[in-house]
Amino acid sequence: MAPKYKLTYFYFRAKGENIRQLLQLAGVEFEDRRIQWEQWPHIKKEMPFAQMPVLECEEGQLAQSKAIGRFLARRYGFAGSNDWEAARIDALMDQFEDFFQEIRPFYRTYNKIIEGNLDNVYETIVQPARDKHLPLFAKFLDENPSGFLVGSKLSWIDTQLADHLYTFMNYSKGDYTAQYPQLAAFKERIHATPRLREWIKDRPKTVI
Amino acid sequence: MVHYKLHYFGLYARGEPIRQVFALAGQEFEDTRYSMEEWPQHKADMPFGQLPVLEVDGELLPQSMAILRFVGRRFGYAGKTDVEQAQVDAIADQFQDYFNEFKAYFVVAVGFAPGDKEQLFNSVMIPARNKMFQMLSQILRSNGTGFLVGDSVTYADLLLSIHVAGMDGLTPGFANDYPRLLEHRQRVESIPALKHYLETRPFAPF
Repeated sequence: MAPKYKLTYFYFRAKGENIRQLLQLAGVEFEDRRIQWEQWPHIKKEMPFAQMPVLECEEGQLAQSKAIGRFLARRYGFAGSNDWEAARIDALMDQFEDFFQEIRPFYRTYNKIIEGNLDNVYETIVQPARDKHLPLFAKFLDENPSGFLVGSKLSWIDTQLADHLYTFMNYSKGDYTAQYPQLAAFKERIHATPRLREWIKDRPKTVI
Repeated sequence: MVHYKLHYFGLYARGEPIRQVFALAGQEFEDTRYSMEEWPQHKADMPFGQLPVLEVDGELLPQSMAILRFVGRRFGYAGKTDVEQAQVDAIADQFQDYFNEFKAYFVVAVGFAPGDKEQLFNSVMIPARNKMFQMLSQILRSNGTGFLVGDSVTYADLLLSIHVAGMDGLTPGFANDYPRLLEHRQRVESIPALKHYLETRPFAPF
């Protein structure tokens, strides 16, 4: 029987990984179609919204990483325990998106869409953005005894933040969270979730 | 009874879609509008130091799209199935990308930053608009109900009608090449609850 879901995205993590992790956590089979950077201009015309990620499921096709993430999170129980918690998770996801937009030059430099030196972008753009945004996430963690960002169980904002931390902790060899030990511990904790631990071990290794 | 209070500026911008969901739902809410001068005193009270924030029985929810989705879903203006809800979300996210794309033009057009308004209109606004408006026209055409998702108004429709109205105010004729979108705006604005709201709401420059 064909997998229920097919995800099409670039070979790296960036805006596709959270969706892959949700499908893993949900224990559902999916086709993990990864597009190499050079293939993209040729594939673009096929894509209904001329962008990726795209999720194909029985009901049709869906674009936009957060819309896809939320759809799967709600379906499989990773979106809080009630509509208020779901909304607070959404708010943190949107805040994360604002953070991501600020550090986007790192991703664009890595993909050579813009010229630059990656170390330099890390120092002059990523680090200040980190210091502006991470304290908010740290505060949510500190105030929630469950160890998750919102509510009493793992949600799709936990996996998103943990993936972000993974990227920059690896890039900086741990230095990224030197001033945020609770976030470093958070990332270890989230990535120790059984289904995620295996996925992380076996997935293609990418810088972003 | 649940008490709703919207904290925002006296602008349409990121608050108006939320206000229009309340209007559609016939739901009363406290429409608090901060002036630029008084806002700094309240900043620290808000969860992310920004507006809009929706206060629901004393609990604070930040981020305009999270608020819009929350009230949209609660009052039934967000799609009827989980797939429709996701499609509405996807259009809302696409709007956010679109706003990010033409921000450089917008801040100059409304006087928040110096720059060559005409040059930016041609180099930034027009390409972004054409890409987005073509996609939305296509969605309207395929869906065939007159609305963007499903067969009734959702907050995706509000994001579009408010944007078309706002940009037409700034640059008359902005959507004239896209008759389907002009028609859509008329359809949404003539929904009785919205028609009444639009006739009586406080004016804002944008």
